[in-house]
Amino acid sequence: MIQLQHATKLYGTVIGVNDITFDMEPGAYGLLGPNGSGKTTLLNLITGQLSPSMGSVRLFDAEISRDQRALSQVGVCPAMDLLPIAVNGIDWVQYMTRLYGFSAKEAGERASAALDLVGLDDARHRVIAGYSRGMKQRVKLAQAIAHEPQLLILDEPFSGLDPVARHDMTTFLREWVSRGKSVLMASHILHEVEAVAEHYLLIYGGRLLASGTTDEIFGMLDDVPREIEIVCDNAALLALLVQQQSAVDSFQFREDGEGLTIITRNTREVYQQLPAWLEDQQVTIREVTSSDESLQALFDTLMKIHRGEI
Amino acid sequence: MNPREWLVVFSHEWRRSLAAKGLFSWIFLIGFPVLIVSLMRYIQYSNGLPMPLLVTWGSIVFVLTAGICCMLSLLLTAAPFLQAELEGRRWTYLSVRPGAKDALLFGKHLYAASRTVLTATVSLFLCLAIGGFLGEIRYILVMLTLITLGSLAYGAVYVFIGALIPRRAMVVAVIYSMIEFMVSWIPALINRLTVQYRLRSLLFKWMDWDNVSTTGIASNSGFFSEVPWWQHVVVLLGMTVGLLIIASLIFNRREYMAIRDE
Repeated sequence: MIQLQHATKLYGTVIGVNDITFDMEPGAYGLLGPNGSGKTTLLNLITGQLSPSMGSVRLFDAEISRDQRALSQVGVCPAMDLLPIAVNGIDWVQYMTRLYGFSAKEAGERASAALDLVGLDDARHRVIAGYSRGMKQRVKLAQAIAHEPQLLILDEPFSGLDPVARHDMTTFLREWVSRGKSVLMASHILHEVEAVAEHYLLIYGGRLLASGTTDEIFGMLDDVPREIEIVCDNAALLALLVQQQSAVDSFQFREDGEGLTIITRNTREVYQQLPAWLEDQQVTIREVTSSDESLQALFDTLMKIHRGEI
Repeated sequence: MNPREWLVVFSHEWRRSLAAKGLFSWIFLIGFPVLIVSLMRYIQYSNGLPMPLLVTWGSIVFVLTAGICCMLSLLLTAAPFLQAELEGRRWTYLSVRPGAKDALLFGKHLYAASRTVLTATVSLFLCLAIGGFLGEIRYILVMLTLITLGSLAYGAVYVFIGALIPRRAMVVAVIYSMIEFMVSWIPALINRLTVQYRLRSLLFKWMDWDNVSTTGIASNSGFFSEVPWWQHVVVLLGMTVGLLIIASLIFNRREYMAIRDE
């Protein structure tokens, strides 16, 4: 679906995207990275708005910077809250849909259906200037899906949405994916991406740090020290037990004194040892958490590796 | 290239132009030649002067309508064809639709030219009515042709400027308009590069004003051309097509990003 080969984008001497290579099959993808990491530049390369300074970008087997016909299979929902203000929702979505080559009648029907789908059926005849932020996000989504593309590209789709609107957006995207369509969404709100995406692209400083499923990406961290937080009644006893474990690299007492923070390269072995401590040594463990199991922690770890801190 | 999509942009722009802001500029563009000829008519009437000949009145109306009115109208509609999208929050959406760039360029050129033809035509008829020349059918037909040719050619020039320098399109277009207008009156080889010179030459040819006994201007003065009329038409249409093709090539190859207003 999308192939990047050593894609690089330079803005003068500034690197927007740096030597990215990946092959994206149909599915749901999350493009993750902090602000300024190159997410939007990468999306602009994929949608042909920018041409790569080096390398190539192919979309549906077409060199997108030269042949933009493949864009008819793509719907794009940009990040910015940029919308025409003096036009009503239905007219604008219809106009945008007609630019895909549909007749006025067909574009009107598709625009109507798309607005229904995103839940803007009542407000379609109101001018966009009067829309709330959530409604603007919905009308942006409607213009991206009205021509029924195979691939939906969303830049920060949850930005500025209230919890209800976020839930609706997540539900919509899940349904979209369940219909066999593909999604690529750029975001820095990780848990919402996790709710939809099956695959991830982690980008920082214009470079692709990692790509793959959650398991694949966590698998990359097998040799990286990770933290396990254990809350227990007898921290001193637990410390004695822990220091005998070869799997544990280091540990420290929690600030409240009620447990330890363990640093280990082998979380599995530590977890396997926990029941034995409970049974044999009479340590009452109340809580075990690993902050490193979230995507945010994974991302933070990858960033540390990238910066040479680990 | 899909001409059907050009018409989508064309019809969309026409609908937008019927908003209050568009109507105001329309009234201004129609009104200012009318205001000038009204003042001339008033001075002539209040001083008891005889009615001017068609060659005099017609030349003035030509400059006001096929010249200034057309240039100003296209300056406002064709030159910012891309700048308006970049600043008006629409570019991000248009740029991800295949063929939308050409639809925008050609559709907006068609819109700007057609709107200008309508504006200048209304202004022309009002000016002729004030001067009492509404019965001059030949002159009217010649002027309608010149307004159409001028709108297409000036539109292409401004669209070209808009594609080349989108962020400063209006400023460059204003400078171009002033230079074009001034240079067209210089009786030297350089004025042949201007649209206004070609239009004036056609006016003089088609109205048979190209002899010294009618206008007092010799044919070798450099004020208008002696070459056959069709050559001027070919130059104007060739210029229109050529500039639009070059503008399209530039437009499709360059990268433009929307201007954020955050």
